[in-house]
Amino acid sequence: MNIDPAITEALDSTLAAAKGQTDDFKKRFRTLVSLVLTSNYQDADVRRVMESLAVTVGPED
Amino acid sequence: MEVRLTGWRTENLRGGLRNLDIDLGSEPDRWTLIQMPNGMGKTTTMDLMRWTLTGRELPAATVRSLRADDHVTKGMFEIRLLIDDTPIRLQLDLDFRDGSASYWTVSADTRGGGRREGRKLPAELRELLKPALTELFVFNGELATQILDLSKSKAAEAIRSLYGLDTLDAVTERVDALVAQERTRASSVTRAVEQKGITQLQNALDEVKTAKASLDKQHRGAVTRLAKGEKELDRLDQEINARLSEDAGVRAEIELIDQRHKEIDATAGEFSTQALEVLRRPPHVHPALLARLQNLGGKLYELKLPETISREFFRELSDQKVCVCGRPIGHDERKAILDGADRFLAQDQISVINQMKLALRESKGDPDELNRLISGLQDQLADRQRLKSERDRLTSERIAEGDEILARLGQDKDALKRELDTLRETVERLTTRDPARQRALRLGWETNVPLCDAELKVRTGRLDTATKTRRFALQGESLKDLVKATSTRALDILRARVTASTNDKLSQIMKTEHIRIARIGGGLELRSDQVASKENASEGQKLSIAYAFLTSLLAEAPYRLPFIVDSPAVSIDVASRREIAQLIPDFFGQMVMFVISSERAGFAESFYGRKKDVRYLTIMPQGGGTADIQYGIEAFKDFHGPESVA
Repeated sequence: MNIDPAITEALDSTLAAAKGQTDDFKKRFRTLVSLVLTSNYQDADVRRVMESLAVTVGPED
Repeated sequence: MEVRLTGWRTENLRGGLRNLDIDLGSEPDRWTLIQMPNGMGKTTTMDLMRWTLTGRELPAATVRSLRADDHVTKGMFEIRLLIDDTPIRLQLDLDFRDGSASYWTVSADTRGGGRREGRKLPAELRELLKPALTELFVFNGELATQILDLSKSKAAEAIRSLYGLDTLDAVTERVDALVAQERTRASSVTRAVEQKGITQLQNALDEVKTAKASLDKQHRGAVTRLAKGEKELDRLDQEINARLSEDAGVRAEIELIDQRHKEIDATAGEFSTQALEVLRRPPHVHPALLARLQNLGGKLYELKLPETISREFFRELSDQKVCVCGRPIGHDERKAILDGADRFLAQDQISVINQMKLALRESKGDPDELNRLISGLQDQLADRQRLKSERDRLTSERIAEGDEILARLGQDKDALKRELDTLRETVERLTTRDPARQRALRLGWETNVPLCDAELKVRTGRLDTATKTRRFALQGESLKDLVKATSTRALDILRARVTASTNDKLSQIMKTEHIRIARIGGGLELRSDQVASKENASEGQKLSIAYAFLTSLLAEAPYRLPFIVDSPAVSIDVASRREIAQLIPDFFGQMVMFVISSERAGFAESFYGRKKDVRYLTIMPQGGGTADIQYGIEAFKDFHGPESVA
């Protein structure tokens, strides 16, 4: 299924604001959104995208 | 994906739905107008369509309320669809006795008649068909008011549902589930998966690292001091010997002691070597061990031969005229040899077992040898101790005679030996790996290097697990934020798009008062040319706005859905009906409209001019819950029914 242009625009906007994330993550995130919109995803897809997300395990507040 | 309605069927249901089969054709017309009087089950039919499409669970009371009469125990509703030109039937089976309902799917591409329990729709359509959206295309006239109601969220829900944004939001639930799983898995290692707990684990690990560094330093210091002390001890011994040797008589005794000492050491060395050699031969260690080995050899299986090399022996033997025992070999003997060979053959590895067996059975040894060697070794050690006492005696005598230098050397040596003993104890405490010694000395990770290493490994593992889990949880939170941001942004864009499209249509409908949508919040916020915030609209205006919104929403949606509407124009004036009837139909790929006779004026009659793609059905009651279906425009025009809305 083609993603509606509105969702593509929203994705572009969200990922542009996601500083510090790799191109690999952004590509995986787009794919996940596409899979979710067609109800064709599994937990493993979500897990892979999560694990490719860059985060900082910072010091205690 | 396109979904079209091709018909529906009812059995044993209330109103006029005892036995009704509506056929819209295998290639349904774009517009269908169905005229039926009140009480025939329009509202019930619309409800049944929504329930069947969404697979809603029905309360027992609802199921029983659908019963045609007390004589029927079961009922059924079936809706027929074309999904991308593939026919599929969704059925709702009703059991009036226990109030249960079950959904079934009939499709041509499945075996055994193709009837399967459940809603077996394509996954994306199954997700799409939720109540919030289904109410929009199986349209409830009352919803028009709700769409405009700012206190409700129908409009935003409709957009979210239609464009799959609610499905996108469901990812957050999956993320939470994955993080929960990870935490459960990690809890077997550590309960600390939050930042505070991780800091505590880090501190605990640092504590062990500090202890390890301290223990290593103590160990290095003790070993260095021990090495120096032993050299110092050698030097003191040499000085003491030199001092003692200044007396010729004593020197002679010392030389004798040293000579004897060397002999004892040599003998003790030989005993040690022999004892070690005996220990390598179990039959010599103890009489009981020898007996048990011989017993084991006797209990092993009967001796067998390796099959590969030994079968040939039996074959050649059977070919001989005379056996090795001298007896002649005839036909019977030959057959007995070949048939019996298997009893003596086994896998080739059996030869190894045979050797072991023979070795065990023939085990021989002198079980008292080890005892003799140990006894001899103990004698040598006792002699050595006596020599040491003899040397000490010589030193003591000289000191007693007033040799102060020797006395000081002796004191230095005693002090050094005590220090070296303490250092050896320290090194043992620091380095022993023997669990029994560790327990006896009450050692812990704070005082013993091997225990400290083990604790370091455990705490490092805990911290790694907690950090990984914490990272995973943070990744989950970030992903949820990104999904939410995407969903929110998409909703804003879609709201703006649907608003523009709706206002474009409203500009064509609203000729007298130019009402527009200011924004789509939860519902629709209105404005007009005269007022910035239009709070009151007539029923006709509300319906017009609702249709404009619905047509905009559904026409641009990624899915093409049929629009099924009950009494589409009953609450608006005739002039507005004509405008709506002109405007709405072209926005949908398929429209099925339930109308009452009063809606013919202005609305239904607007379709009369369309020469194709219009189907007219007129349903009339025949008594006893049955109905007659008339197809065609003439019956539709001629029908006279009650003017009130069902």
